[in-house]
Amino acid sequence: MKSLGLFGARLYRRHLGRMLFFSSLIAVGVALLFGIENLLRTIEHGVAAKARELLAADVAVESERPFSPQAMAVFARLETGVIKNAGILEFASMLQPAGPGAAPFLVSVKAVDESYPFYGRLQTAPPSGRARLFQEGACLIEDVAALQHGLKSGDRVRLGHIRLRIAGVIKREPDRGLSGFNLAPRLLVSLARAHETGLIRFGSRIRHRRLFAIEGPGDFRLAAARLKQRLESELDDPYVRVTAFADAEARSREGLKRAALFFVLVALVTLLLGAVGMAAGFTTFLNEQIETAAILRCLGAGPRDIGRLYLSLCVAVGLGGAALGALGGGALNALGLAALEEFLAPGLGLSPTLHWPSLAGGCGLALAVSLAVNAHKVKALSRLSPLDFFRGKVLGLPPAVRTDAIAAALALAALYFYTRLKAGSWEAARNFTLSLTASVAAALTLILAALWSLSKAARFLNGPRTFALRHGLLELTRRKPRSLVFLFSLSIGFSLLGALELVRHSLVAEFRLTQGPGGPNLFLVDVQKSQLTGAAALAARYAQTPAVFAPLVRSRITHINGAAVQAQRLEGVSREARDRRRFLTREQNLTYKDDLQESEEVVRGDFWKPGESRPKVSLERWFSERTGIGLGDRVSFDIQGRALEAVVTSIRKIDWSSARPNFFIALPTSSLENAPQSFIASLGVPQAERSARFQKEIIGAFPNVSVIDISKILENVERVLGILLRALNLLSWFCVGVGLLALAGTLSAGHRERCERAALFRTLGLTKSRVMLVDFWEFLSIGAVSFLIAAAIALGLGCLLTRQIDVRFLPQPWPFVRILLPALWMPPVVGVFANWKTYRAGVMENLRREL
Amino acid sequence: MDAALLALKEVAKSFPSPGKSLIILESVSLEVRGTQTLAISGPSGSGKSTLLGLMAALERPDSGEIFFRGQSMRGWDEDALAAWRSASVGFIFQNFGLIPSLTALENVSLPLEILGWGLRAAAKRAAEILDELGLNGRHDHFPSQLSGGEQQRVAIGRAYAHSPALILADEPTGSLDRDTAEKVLGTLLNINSAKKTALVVVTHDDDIASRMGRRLLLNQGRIVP
Repeated sequence: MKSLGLFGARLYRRHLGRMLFFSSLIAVGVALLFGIENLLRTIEHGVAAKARELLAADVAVESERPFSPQAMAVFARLETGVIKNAGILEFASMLQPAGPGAAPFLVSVKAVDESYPFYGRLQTAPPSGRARLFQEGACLIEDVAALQHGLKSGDRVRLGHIRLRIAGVIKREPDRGLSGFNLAPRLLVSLARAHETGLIRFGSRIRHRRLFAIEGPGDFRLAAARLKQRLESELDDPYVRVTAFADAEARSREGLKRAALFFVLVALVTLLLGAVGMAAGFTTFLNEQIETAAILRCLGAGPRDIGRLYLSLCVAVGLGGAALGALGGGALNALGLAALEEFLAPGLGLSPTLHWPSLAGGCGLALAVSLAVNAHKVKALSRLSPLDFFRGKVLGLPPAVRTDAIAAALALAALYFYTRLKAGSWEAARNFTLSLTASVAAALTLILAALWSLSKAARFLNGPRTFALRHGLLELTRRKPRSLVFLFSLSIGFSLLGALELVRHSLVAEFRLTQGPGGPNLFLVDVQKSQLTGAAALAARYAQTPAVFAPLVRSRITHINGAAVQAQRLEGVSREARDRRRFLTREQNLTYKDDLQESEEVVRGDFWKPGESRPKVSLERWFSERTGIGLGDRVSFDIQGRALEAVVTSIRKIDWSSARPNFFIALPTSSLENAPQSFIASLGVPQAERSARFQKEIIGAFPNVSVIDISKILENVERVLGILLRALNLLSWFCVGVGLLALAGTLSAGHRERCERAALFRTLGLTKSRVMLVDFWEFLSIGAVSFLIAAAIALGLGCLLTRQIDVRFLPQPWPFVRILLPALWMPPVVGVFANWKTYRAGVMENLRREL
Repeated sequence: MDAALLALKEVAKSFPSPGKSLIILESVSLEVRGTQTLAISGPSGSGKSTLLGLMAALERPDSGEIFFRGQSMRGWDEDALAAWRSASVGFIFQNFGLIPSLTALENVSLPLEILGWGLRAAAKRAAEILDELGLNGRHDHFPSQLSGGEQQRVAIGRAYAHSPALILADEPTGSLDRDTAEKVLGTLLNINSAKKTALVVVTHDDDIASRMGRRLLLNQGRIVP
């Protein structure tokens, strides 16, 4: 029937408010997904455009040991008119400002030559800073450090054995990294001056880099890839990493994807809740349309015509959701860019762009969701017999538990594969889907249990004073499908908020435990054996907590069970395998001891007895899992040129929050005590002024020693985590928003019935205020149940998440309750507000509205 | 002679409409005596349901006055009118007007609970009423589980559970087949005689109207003499 097309348009217009409401329920999730996706692509686009700048080169070669003469020969051979190369050294050290009373602080030193950077610009204030770096042998300091320590151009500082003048402040360093988070501020010096500091010596922890730039026309990506291959082949060293700028770009992209993953998952949950709310609302709408459909059938429309009519409404709802989602996503994208401006490496120069595939994906998702959740109900409507309806045999759409269950299972499967697509990991997809399924199952079980309990409780409210409460509870507990929808939406939304709050507090509390009174707050790094006595004596004078020194021996793992460890040619290998290889081939810090610390316990195998002479090795549990090295495996080490093979005889669990020197790999004293080594120590010097004096004195006596102030690092970590968690919090509020929308929508869908009930109550003699009180108790019960269920699920999720990130679960009652309180008061506010007209209207007005 | 239970004097009601006011009732006066049965009939749109609404104080007239046992209800506020309805009026709707989430027993107990009865006492009384109406075994059924006739009997039970002085019924048999309608009407008339409750029925059915003690014809908002 062609005229049904026009009728469909009229139907849409007639119910425009509701249709737009259904669209808005899915639009929130679509907006989040599209916004995040588009933001990610915008950043990736920015990164790709400046990929060479991120590396400051086309190809970079890195090693944690000095390049061998053979490697240097390779570099020299490659130096042509087209290919240039330059050396860089990076290491951490203490910088001592010259001013009286000034405290030393940790810096990340980068020693460069005049060709740095090959790409990008080193921006300094004043602009002459870069030139003066090489002309005057001065230094440049990062603007953050200058601000924090009151330093400026012209000031003098000491680095190792030399004094430097600050030539300027670094505003932008091209290859500093994408994220604004760094453990120590940057100090730039020339290579020549770096060698004068006395800090570059055998055994020092220095990152050696060689940068290559390819000049001339042609495809520079291809040229860089070829150069990389040539370097890998000619160097042939598993401990030397060769990176092309495209690799750096790919790593940044992967890093961004991983960071965005949590946001994408929260957005998916929001979409899921929106779909649930929309499905419930559309079902109510279709139930109201049964009479219309029956009449149309009598007028000559067939089942297919009815199906097409209402499917076209589903399509319209989906397209509406797509349009609203696109607008919302665009706004989020712009806001997100503005918010990230400060957080991301400045000068990345991000400008809002529209990623059409993301937009198309979001729109497609809206349409797919609208059709997927409603198609089977439309089919059921189209198959209803008009005769049955007019005979009064049809009260509503037939229940379709089996179809709903199949739809839910398909939705979960789709979610699983979508998460796999976004996360790039089956494990992440599985964990998320399982957690979500468990949360949904828990929520539904708890809701049904709560409704059952409340219905039983209502029986005991048999006095006249409890009339309103009783009828409020009856209304809630006897309209299960409706109550399930908004209780579920609200509980899930608030449980996310609650879980994030618990995780945040546990993280912060864990960090603060390590800074507790009496606990260590300083780490000493790079204490040489000859300096041990002096450093220990100095530490003893200042420390409140005795310093614990532990030997550190730098080495590499060369073989596992006789098989050589390979680093290169990781293309085509999975991310997990790549990460494992990189972890294996980096410099490892070993220690030697014959006793366990308080912070350690053996979970598998046996620790050796003091005096053990055979080479054995004990691994930390996480290290063992990550590298795949377990009990009984033979591990070969290259310790500064000497080989050592040891058998894994125990696996340890370490309490990292103890802030003591703890090591992934430990060997007996007899195996390593004569190896080249340095020492690290942890100690507690709580008062800031005393700590500053200690740092000044120890740097003065031993310029090579670095002091890491844990509290400053933890402040930085807390700050970054705080930003991330606040962003996740914000997204969770979107989830809650969808839950409240679902509540408002469900209440609105039942508006006619509520009008009728209010009119009936008033006809029977109930006053306006008592009618409102009945509803108020119903809404407050919704709030109370949502609050309790959200709290229960949040506690479970929070516990699970903290275990995942290996942090103690340390909930804080009041902040947790405070963040969930809106679950309690929002439903009564929304409910009363949504029905205000009903309460104010006259009885006959409500009756006529109902009719 | 019965005293006038409810009296309407020159009552008028209109509703706002685009352009001008729509006059529904114009200068209507009538009396209902203590145990009378009164039928108000007329064509569709004549103002019957509006008149019934005014009699139940569900709306206020634009002009005129309504008296209950000689006392004017003009100055009564909403709460006073609600209290009066809870004690003195029973209302029956054409489409039954039962609360879907309450059982038959709970629907019938409702007026008693509103009057302040304890739940147990109200339930006991409601059970008796349902049994009187031939609905034993249906106490715990929800309206959706009852036939039209059963639902209307539950509505009748709710209307007289609190022994009101006046029962107002708006097309009580309008949604029922002939046989069921006959049974429902019979029940209403039995209540009138047994409980001494005045009964006002709005109906367009001449047969039903003829069974009432008095009949008033309403046409275009006026009583036809």
